[in-house]
Amino acid sequence: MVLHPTANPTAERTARETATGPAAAALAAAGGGALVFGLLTLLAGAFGGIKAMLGFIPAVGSLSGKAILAVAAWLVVWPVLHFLWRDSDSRLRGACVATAVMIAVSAVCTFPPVFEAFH
Amino acid sequence: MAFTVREFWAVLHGLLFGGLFLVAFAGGAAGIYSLRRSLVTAEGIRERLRRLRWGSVALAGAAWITVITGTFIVYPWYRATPPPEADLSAYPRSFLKADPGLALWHTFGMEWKEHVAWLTPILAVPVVFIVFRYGSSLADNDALRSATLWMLTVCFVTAAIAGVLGALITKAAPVL
Repeated sequence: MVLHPTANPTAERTARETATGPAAAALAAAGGGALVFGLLTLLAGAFGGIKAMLGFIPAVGSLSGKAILAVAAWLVVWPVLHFLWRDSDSRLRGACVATAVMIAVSAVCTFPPVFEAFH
Repeated sequence: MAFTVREFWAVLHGLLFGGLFLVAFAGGAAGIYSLRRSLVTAEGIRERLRRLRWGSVALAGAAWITVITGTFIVYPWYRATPPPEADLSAYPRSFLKADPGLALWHTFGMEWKEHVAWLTPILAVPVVFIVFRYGSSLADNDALRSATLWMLTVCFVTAAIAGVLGALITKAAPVL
């Protein structure tokens, strides 16, 4: 449901303040960040070249690149989703499902027997 | 009794910041779960919300500080490459990998810990955002409160995996 302007500004303001779109955006963006981290872990496990490229800080190794890129992706996606969903009140359930799937995929990708299987 | 600089940072990372996260999780989970109109008065919601706001910031802050100190300060000492003929006890990763009986602590334990830990701070921030943005209306919105509690629980699971593995790995090969 997208909120439309009403004749009652107070009610409209209250509806905007309680619309769950921003919460859905925050949850989904965090799931997206987790997913990027998981996929980078999988890719680094599969391809030595990618693992080397992710070594932004040599003393830390590829973990530095995975962390920095995942955080960057999360911080880029969040404001975009927030802007798109700011007035929506019907995305929470879908966002929760999508977030759960993204976190689950990330958890699988960061499980050593999985990402080392691609080595 | 004396601590080396490395041991000091390992204690800060694992015990102080990691411990703060666990305490904040317990308070946050109880606070969010009970933040409902049917359980507390309007005054009670205001009082709980104040604690919940501080608690959620402490939780996310502790999660971020824990992974940042762990990744960028302690982890380089853990994974440092020893020079030839060096005493491997000062090089935990090499020490573990050199012993077939201990190698799994690195190849499985540390590899899982260092990755799963990074999910915690990213997943903790939406909890803070929701608590601040929605405030007392969380008490009226069961779906949003459940989603927040669910996210907080996932944070705890990832942190618990990393914390338990970290403690066990430190027991097998401390950063000295």
